Amino acid sequence: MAVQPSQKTNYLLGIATFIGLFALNIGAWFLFFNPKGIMRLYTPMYGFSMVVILLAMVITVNDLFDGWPLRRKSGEKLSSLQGLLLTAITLLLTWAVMFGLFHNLIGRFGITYFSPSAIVATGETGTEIFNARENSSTALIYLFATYIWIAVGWKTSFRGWPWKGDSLGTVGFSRLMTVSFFSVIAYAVLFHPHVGYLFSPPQKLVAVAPWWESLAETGSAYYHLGWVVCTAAILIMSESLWESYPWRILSSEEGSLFGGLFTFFGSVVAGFVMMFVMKKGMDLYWGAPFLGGQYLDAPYFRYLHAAEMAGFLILATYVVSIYLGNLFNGANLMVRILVRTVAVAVLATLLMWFYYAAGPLFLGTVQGIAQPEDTPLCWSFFMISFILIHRYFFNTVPIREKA
Amino acid sequence: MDRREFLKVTGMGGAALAAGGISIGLPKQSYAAKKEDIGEIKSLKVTVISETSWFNNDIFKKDIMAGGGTMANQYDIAWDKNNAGGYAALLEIEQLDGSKKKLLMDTGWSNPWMDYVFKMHGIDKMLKNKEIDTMVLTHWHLDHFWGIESTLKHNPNITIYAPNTHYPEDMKLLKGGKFEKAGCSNSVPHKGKLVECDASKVVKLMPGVALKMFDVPIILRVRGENVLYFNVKGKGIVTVTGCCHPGVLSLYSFARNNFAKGDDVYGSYGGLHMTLFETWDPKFDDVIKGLKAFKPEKLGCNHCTGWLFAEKAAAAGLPVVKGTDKFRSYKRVSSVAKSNHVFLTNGDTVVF
Repeated sequence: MAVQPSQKTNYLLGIATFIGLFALNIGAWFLFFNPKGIMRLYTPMYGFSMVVILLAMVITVNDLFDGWPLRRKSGEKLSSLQGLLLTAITLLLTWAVMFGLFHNLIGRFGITYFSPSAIVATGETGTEIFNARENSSTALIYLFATYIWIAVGWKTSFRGWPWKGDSLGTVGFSRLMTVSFFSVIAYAVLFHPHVGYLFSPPQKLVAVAPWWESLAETGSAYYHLGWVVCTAAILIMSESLWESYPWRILSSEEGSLFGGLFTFFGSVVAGFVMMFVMKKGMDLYWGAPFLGGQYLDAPYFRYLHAAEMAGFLILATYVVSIYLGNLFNGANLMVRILVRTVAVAVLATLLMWFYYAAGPLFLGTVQGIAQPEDTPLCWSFFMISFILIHRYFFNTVPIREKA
Repeated sequence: MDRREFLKVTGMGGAALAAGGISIGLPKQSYAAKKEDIGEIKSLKVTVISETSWFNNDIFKKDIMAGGGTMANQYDIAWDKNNAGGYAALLEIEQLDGSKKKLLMDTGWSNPWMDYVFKMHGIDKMLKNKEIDTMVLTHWHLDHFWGIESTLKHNPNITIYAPNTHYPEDMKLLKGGKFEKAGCSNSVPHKGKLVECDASKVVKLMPGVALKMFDVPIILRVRGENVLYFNVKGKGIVTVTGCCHPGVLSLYSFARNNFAKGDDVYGSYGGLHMTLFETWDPKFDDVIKGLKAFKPEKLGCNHCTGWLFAEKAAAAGLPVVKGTDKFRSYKRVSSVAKSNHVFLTNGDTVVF
């Protein structure tokens, strides 16, 4: 949802509110994920999968269902109690989807790799509970990263089309079916081959060998994760900072099939461009990666790191648009876009610095970059979930009330 | 603003951003710098004192899981003492003039186990009579360092080369300390020289032997790993590692970019940190293909390489050095050990 240029912003209140939410997030991270904390779920894939599913559920409740059934009409303001209820529904959905739908239904009665216990039950090489849980979580991360991209892409690209005038519930279920349908296809092509090759022997009869290897110099699906998250970043920046440009050139506020296709596939192209620009920057800074290189030298790390940087861009975009009222709302569109984009780039850099420099202190991570057991995407997605819950379920209290 | 104007200004902005992106992306390191000549040795013999850091993968992983996952502090985890073994190797270097020097690489985890294997290989006597007066600690992981008492009780004055990326707990153990929960202790304080290796320098230990610390983040909150480079006359560069966390191809790449004759990679010994828990990932296929491009002639692998990786590397035609059944004469064997000899296991030797 784009922030309108006419809204007045109390920057101090915005910053104070964000700092409060940030502190709450660090506390929650300590409770659930911090390796020095209480539950220590960031193992890393297990905790990361929870975060990705949480974010996917926030997007489902807001972007697909628009707050239905608690909200009956689009744009209707929610009370604090309703906000709490939507948060509870989101958390319940996260739990039900991860443990009910995937670990215990699809995993146990359909696709083995979605359930840690089903993987262990095969008794194959290396299939003990720790590996099984990490592998199962990797599959869930890929599936729900795809879902997030398709959900954000569908909402931003097609807007109200083709369900204009229908009730929120009808639109919500229709969007859910559509997004799930395309997510399954995209996941099968982009990520399933990697998951099929996480096991020994490789599951050749159910998954083709990673087909992108010659393009990407790696069999890892981090290649796809890179452009998928970059594409999501493009869509979110366009919607939040760029007042829906450049897609607005050919699409309307109501949405249309043609405008939707233009936006959706245009954003994929832009996402690829963003990933390759980021990768080029890394290649210049760290030297060219090479096939079989590890850590900084690994091609797969460069794609993952592009996704990680895009994650910080998404986070910074939400901070600038929601808590700082998009900073600058005067002059012409291009100046506004430029000022906001530069501000987001600076803030994203600061957030990245926070993660790598202060992460060991605040988040319990290990100092250094390219740690195979750590990806900043987990924390940035966790923080984004907090911001979206605050924005959509609690109307960004107290900012909106005072504005 | 109309659409035509928007497109025009966007094009200009894109060009400016692209130019800016190029100007800030300076390489961190210039590979045009002069390459270092580390000299040559005649030969290197490696004896596997112990490569079984633990005996049961499942118990080890269960301990990590219960302790908070792979980024948890290793000193905060309640390890199963009965599962502890250790990693250590004896390196015998023959110089071009025929003189010989012995180095100890790492000192294992469990003191009872390390006492047992040290005695079996006569390391205890070599330490006592100063035949071994230097130890290279590859990194501060429990299975490479926590058995420090087994070394110090024979020679507390031994010179130790170690990564400078240590934590206070590491120093406490080195100087004589105990960690109840983790189950490690050292009652013999180190009194010798501690050479702290930093990532910016290559340390020349002797002609033909260099030590390079790679400051990489590693599981269990550890950082940094020392890697030994040997330049064997007529053969080429040999890397010797504890776990090879930086990645074997990155080590080769470093040699190629920084050492005279670094293009000639002859081989490697040690853990290669691949299928540590016997589980696969497409990135390991990348490594096998990358290794084939470097064309090493001898790969002596064990420990965290994982049997699965060694099997697949051998099947792919890489020159994996065959081990023997000597490990079966040890009082304990790893639960993942196989009879296909793709590992250099306890008691095996390899000569480069």
